[in-house]
Amino acid sequence: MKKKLAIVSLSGICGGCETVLGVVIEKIEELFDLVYAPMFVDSQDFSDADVFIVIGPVETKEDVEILEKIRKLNKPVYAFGTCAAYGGIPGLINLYGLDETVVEIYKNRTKSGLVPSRDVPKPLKFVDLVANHVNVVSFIPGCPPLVDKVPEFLEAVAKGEKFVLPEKSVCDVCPLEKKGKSEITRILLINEVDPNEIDWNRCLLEQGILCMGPATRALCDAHCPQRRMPCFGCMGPISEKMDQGASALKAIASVLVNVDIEEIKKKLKDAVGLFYKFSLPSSILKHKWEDTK
Amino acid sequence: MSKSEQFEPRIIAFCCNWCGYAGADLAGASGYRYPANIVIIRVMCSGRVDPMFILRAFQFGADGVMVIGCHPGDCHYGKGNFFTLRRVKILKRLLEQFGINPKRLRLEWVSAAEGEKFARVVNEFVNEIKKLGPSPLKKR
Repeated sequence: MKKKLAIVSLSGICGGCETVLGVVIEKIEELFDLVYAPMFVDSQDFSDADVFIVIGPVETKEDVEILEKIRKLNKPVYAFGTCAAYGGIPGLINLYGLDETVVEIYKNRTKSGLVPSRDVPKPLKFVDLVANHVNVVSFIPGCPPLVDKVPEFLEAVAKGEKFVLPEKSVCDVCPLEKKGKSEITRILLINEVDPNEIDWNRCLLEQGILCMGPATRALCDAHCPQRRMPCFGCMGPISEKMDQGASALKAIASVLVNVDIEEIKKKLKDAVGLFYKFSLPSSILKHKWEDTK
Repeated sequence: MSKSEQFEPRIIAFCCNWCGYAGADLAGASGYRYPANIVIIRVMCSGRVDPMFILRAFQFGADGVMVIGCHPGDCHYGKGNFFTLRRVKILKRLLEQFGINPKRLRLEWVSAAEGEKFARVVNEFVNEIKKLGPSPLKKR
């Protein structure tokens, strides 16, 4: 008998993960009975599901209530996508806090200046991870996860097994040529790059383009560096014990050993935005802190 | 505040084996006084100090972290302290963005012959952290 699957999307989603699931919908139909998935089927209740796939970060009181309901059903939960696993792009809100962000977006950046207060779920203080609210069996990272890897993940979900992730960095699978020595004296942000100046068959980091490859899990076959973009780190840290930003900082600072310190200070003003773009809520420091000046 | 309730910071210092640690040794042998707030961890080179060590130290409630290495150009392994210099500079910016005062992290160069400098630097840092107060990450 097929398992009954519920796909639950929390409030911080963009729709990318659902689109990927839509691409592999035939595989889902083959393996599961879809009982709840607002994107694909018309049903309101997930209480008779056997297994859950959760998408998105935890941002509001409503999300917490949904996860509480899921937890009471005592069924295996899988996280899908970087948001559910590590916090994702919405996790960058943690540098300001959700309350401040809501005021900034709705009050300071709109003409009417009204903050929605009625009939909207209350935001939490900071963006949280699904794993902090329910016991997650395993997860697949990616923003969104690669379509070729999703069927494998769905099979693991159908069997109730853990989805085994590789503990390799993007650099390990990246085909660009690495000479192992860096003599760069400048830093290039991706908007400052002159495409004719760069040797696109050579490692981008060795030419001064900041790339998160050394600190990112290789679940993507290094698609971005091969297509002339540096890695942004969407697959999260290499292993669960690592902090993505710290290991990226370590690797990148070692490459910049010949670069002037003033230039590093100038170009790396947004260090958190570079190193923790996809994994801020799962990092060591997690969110902003109040310290004495 | 009475004297017994005075805030005593807890400070982690990563000292490199060849300069920082030897400097601390000399400070002790020459009888210079420095506060007991400091907990020294010996590493083979200041380049061995992973940024994660520093972040973990803050996570577990350290009020300040010091990294003590050889003077630039004097590294036993060639370039280790140049790596550290850049890592600490970026890490300070990172801490600032997280809302943690970057003064809580300090990089110092102390050679094996500078026992007096070691004691002075530690005294300065402890006084500075005492002024800043406890770390916001400290669990109460």
